[in-house]
Amino acid sequence: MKAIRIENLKKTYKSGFFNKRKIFALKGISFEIEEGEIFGFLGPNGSGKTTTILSMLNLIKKDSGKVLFFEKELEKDYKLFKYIGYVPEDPYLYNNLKVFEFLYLSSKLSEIKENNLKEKIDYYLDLFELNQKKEALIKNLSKGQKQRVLLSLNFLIEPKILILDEPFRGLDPLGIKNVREEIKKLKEKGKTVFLSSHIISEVEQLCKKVAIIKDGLLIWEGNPKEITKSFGAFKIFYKFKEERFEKNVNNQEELINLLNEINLKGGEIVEVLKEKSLEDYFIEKMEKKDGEN
Amino acid sequence: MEKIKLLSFYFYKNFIRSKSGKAIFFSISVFILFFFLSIFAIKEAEREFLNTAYELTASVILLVATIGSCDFLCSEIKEKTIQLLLTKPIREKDIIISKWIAINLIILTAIILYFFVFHIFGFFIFKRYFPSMDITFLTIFISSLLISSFTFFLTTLFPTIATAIFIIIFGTGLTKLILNSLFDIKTYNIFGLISKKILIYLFYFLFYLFPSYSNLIIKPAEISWSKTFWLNYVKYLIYGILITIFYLLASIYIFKIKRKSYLK
Repeated sequence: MKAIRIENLKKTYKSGFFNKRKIFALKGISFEIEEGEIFGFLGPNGSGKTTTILSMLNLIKKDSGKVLFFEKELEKDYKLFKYIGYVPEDPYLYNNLKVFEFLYLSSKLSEIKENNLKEKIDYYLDLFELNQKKEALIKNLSKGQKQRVLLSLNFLIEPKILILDEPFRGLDPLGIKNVREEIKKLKEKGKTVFLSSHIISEVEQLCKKVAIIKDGLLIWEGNPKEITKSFGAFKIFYKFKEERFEKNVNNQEELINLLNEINLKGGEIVEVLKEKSLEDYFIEKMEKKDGEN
Repeated sequence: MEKIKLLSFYFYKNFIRSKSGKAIFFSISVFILFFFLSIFAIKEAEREFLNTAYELTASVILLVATIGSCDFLCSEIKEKTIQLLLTKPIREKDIIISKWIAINLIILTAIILYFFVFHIFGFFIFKRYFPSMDITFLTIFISSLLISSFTFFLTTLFPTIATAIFIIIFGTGLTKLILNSLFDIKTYNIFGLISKKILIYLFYFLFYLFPSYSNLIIKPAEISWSKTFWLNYVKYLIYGILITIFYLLASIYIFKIKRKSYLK
């Protein structure tokens, strides 16, 4: 079953007071996420990542398109939110509530019926090093701590679908590691994670499926490992009698064989480029001008 | 129902701990100070004692009902905490109702405190009980229910504090301003008129708001124990509650339609 299905999602904003100009934030994006999958969503600033998430969650009005969670529309069934967790880009919290009060209220609103809710809250507060701040007012926390409160909440309610918008922002390395581990645990439990992030290495490490968005359009979608396959793990530039050649090979063994062959035939090795990462691919795609994708 | 109870309770807590919440309870100490001073100043003037208590209570409570209700929704939109609520399995109507209950719980807490302070000092100074003030406390509360739902209606339409307050003040004050200006125009030269207008625009709006609202409240001096009074009073209560329900339903409807435009 598809956990999330998005079809031709479009969104425009209007800018200006008298002369209203249309800004196309999403130009018709479509993708599907299987249940139990960790889906990476990449894109540069202003590419439409947060707009996609806000439209998906019915927080802003979309121009057209369909967003389905478990084949149902959120607009028609608000109870679907019971199965959805959301960590926004900036931690928006009730500043005058205490950390524990906030976690308790939000979990109850998400219809958590567990009897051991208080122990569960304590466990996550401990995991994210917030146990000292349990009785502190949220307004007295730093931005990173607020982010950890929101993450604790979403991990403790264990939603069927967790939407994370830049979850690593403001976290220290230990915090990042904890989030990574918790995401993996959710996957093991069969939950779906939608991860929008700038930290490409984390996305590459966690996600089997990644989509790249640029200027409101999906420009690539697939498994990060496919990038290596389609481009080759190594790229070799060599010369035969002043004529230049290049070739891709998929592994080290093939590389050694090719290098030997070139040497035997009297060719000259110019350059051997190492495996292409998702980050290299992302940067290459972003550097291309419009229309080149 | 459980979610409404839970949300109202935590909205109440969140507001009480905010600066606006603290300001309300600070006002109670001003109230106590007034009564303390009245021991020396107005020992024989029961009427004056009652009227001042009414004016103090009405002005503070009506201010809380207006600014507090406005703040309840606008700050949520401004600080984007509304995202938290809109991504939980809660109906829009539950959000509005629990916010309305929370602000009125705060008002009720303040009125109960005022009630005790008033009666303790009243009994201490005049050695008697003032039942007419109880009617006034009740009408102030009914009015605050109405005002808060009216403010909710406006803030769902204009969800920024500045705009909402401006609209509320402008709406209630404009009619009076126009009427007063028409009468005043002959008595001022042009410079006087302009300076007066500026003054009016800067400061008077706020003062126009409260006399307009205070018309909703039955003052202690107006209370009699006749049958006609009670019939009118019941009518007043029914009308007040009906208008409150109307504005509350209208707020829920507008919130449902406009919620997606709040997070632009």
